[in-house]
Amino acid sequence: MLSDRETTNKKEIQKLIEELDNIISKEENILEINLDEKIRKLAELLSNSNNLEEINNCSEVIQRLAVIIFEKTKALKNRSGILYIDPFLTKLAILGSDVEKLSRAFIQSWRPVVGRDVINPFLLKESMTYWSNITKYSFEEEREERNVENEVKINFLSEREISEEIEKMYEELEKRGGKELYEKLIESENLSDKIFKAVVLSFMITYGYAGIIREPLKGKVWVVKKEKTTESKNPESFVIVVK
Amino acid sequence: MEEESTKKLRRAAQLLFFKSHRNPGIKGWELRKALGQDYTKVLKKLEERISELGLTIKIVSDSGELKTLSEPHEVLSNCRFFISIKDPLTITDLRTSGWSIDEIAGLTVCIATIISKEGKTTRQELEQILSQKLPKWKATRLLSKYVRAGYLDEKEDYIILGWRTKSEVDLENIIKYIFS
Repeated sequence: MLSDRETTNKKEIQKLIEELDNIISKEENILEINLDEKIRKLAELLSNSNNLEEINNCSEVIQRLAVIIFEKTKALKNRSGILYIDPFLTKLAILGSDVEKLSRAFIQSWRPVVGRDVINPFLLKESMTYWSNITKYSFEEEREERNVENEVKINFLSEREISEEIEKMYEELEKRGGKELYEKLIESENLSDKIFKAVVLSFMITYGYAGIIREPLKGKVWVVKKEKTTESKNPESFVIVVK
Repeated sequence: MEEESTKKLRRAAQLLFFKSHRNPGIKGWELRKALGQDYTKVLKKLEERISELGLTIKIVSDSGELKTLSEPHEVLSNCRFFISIKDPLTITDLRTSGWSIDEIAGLTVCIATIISKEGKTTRQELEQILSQKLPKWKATRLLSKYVRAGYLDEKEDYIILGWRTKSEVDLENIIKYIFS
């Protein structure tokens, strides 16, 4: 039976092993990886370890650290071998060179990327599909206010009586004690009904029949019933994702 | 079958030639998504074709290392693929490159200085070196232009080499030429 200390220690060592494995397997710039924190952590874990299994696991961490340090040394050697030049000498070389020599050095080493900013057939096809799918609504000269009448006009709500639906939802909210989680209130078996309920609810909120309380830390959104005469003094809008 | 392969070849050329992001080039995973699992084979074929025109496909990892098409997808997935000029340009080609000789010389000075300072230096230092041959206002303007074009990158208080220098410039060669 492992003690609490042993269990925590074992978990921490395992986590460290996974982190180091992750570093080894990734194609990142190994020179940018800072191992100080990991070595400090290992020292702490090792001093807390007093059974053979823990010490054995710590040796696994040491082995991985050694691999990373070896890779770092190799990368550093490689980089310095290729690119190390004395800053003072470089400055002298730069100051001693004329514009043409410097430009020639660049030109001889430059293989510019070839690319074009043009409209191509693929983009045209994509844009045509997009263009034909957008509704006329977006292009009206004077942008009409989003209200029930307009939604009905663009056939969004043509099959249901929105005011009845608002009334129904208001009663539903009342039945649930005047406060309910947003997602529970719009809960439905199929997605189209769920979205319809979300739209109805948005109108209910717009008309001031309900309000929203957000709990960002818990990721919860509550809908609260209001008296029907209540008008929103500080109107604001925010997005809720319907899953 | 042949028609399908030609279609893929055309698509690959479109993806590589036409800029679809802010920066040119396209990631390996995007190419795989658009061309299928055998995207490296399609790119090898494209490479053969464009090679006759003096162009090549260049693959650069996030850290600036050059890669080849024979590497596994896990390595290529996050690399950026470009089409670039294969052979060195001449000084007369500068006229069509959109850069003046002063600007190119200034960029060379910046690149060499950054390399000699182990990969990073301050804006002030670069301005000071450029100002030895150019008016101060021009040095400041040029530095901003290099950063905008992606040849240099400004990170907090330092200036480092940008993605474009890493992808387009043979750093070993440039140093060799400066000291020659």
